[in-house]
Formats: sequence, C-alpha cells, structure tokens
Amino acid sequence: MTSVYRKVRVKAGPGGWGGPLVLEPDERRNKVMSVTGGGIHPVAQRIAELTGAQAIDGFFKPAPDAEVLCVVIDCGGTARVGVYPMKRIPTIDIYPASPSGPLASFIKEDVFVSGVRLDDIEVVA
Amino acid sequence: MTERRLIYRSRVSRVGERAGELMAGGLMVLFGEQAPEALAEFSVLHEHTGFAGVLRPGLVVAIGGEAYRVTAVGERAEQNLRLLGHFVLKFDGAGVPELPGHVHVHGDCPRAVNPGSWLEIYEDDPGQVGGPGA
Repeated sequence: MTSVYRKVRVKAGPGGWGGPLVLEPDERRNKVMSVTGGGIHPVAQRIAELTGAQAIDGFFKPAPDAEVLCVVIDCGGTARVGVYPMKRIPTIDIYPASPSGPLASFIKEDVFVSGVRLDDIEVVA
Repeated sequence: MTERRLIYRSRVSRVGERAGELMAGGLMVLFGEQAPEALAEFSVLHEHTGFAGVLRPGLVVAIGGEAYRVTAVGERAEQNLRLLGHFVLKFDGAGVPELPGHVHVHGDCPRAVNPGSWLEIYEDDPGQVGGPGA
C-alpha cells in the first residue's frame, strides 16, 4: 500500500530562528495542531494540505500529543513557545521568536522553527 | 479618593501540576479552560468568558486578592487574553515588555494559587479617568 502522506521541509522566515524541520506524517502522527486561537492558522492549513495530514484547532478539538505531527503557534510568549519543544513536539512559530524564558533550554533547532510564512513550507521528495 | 473600575473578572478553575515550576521562577501562565493539555499542565486555568477592555501599564492585576501593578504590556498580550484567556505574568516590574505575550507586574510571584480564587484586572488610577471607555 502506498502512503497517502508526503514529506515537507519548513524553514525559518525573516528574523526567525531554528529549523529547518522535516515533517512526514504516518498512521499514528497525522494531526497538524493549530494552537493559535481564532481558528486554524493558514500555515497549519498549508502544512496539512501538503503532507496529507489533518489540520485541527488545538483550542476546540485538541488531539492527544501522540497523534500530533507538529503544532503551529503564533505567540511570542513563554508557554506555547516552550512547552511543545519540551515535549519534543515539532513547533512552528509564526512569530520570529528566539529561545528565551524558563523553558528556553528545551527550544532546539531540531524541534523549533520561527518566523514561518506560507512560502517557507515546501514538499521534499 | 481612588475608585476601582473592574475591567475583567474570572475565577481560577484549575492549577496545572507543573505551573508551580514556572511560578517559582517568577512567571505565571494563565489560560482559559480550553487550553490543550500540554499547556494546561503548566498553566493556571480560569473560566475566561471574554475580554473587551484595553490592557495597559498602570492597571492592577489581582489574584486571590493580592494586587500587582502592571508595568509593561507586550503587543500580543491583549489579543491573547481576548481570544484565549491567555497571558503570561512576569513578576519583575520591567518597564519594557520582554516578549510580545508578556504582561509585567510589580511584586513577588505567589507560590501557589488556589482554584476558586478570583483573577481580576482593574484600574484605580484617577489620572486615567476620562480616558478611552470612560
């Protein structure tokens, strides 16, 4: 059976930090969780479309961490920026944040990328 | 005489099991009850029912009756509060926001917050009476 999923590369946008992240959904991890507030962010929607994963709103229909391919956040705060990298869940920040705050030590290039725009997402073979 | 004008009131419903780790470092993360589990673990959750005011320095944030003067407000904090009941309180009295989602206040971070406590935001500075919304 051929996989319905595709792989994408997400790189940092202008002023951003971290990445690039390579994301490929599988049968287990196939949710792109938008933890942005105000609905599903276009960046989450794009990643879902390109990979074949499902975009969900983390505030209204959250998925268990084990099903999450990546989260998309848009907050230059401490919580969302730090908590998901700490849990080793790939984190895509729309805001061009760099590691800071009490959870900064968990924010690594291999699990966090920021300043991401729609054009920073591309399918890789 | 100063008059208090309450602009936000919400009851604390749950305190995440690891919220204390951040509070020990002078940081309190607040979220409405619909926060996903990973965030809830580090947060003080409250019955957010909407916010229509303006967040600005000079306001007072009170938690369980303890009052903290706001010294700086990040550019995203008000929108986060409105949409998600979310803001990050940093107890360092900074005059310039460190991060866009932060609200800085004077005073020491409480060591614990009890469910059932009120989270309130009010203005008590007479100099602002007659400002927007008055």
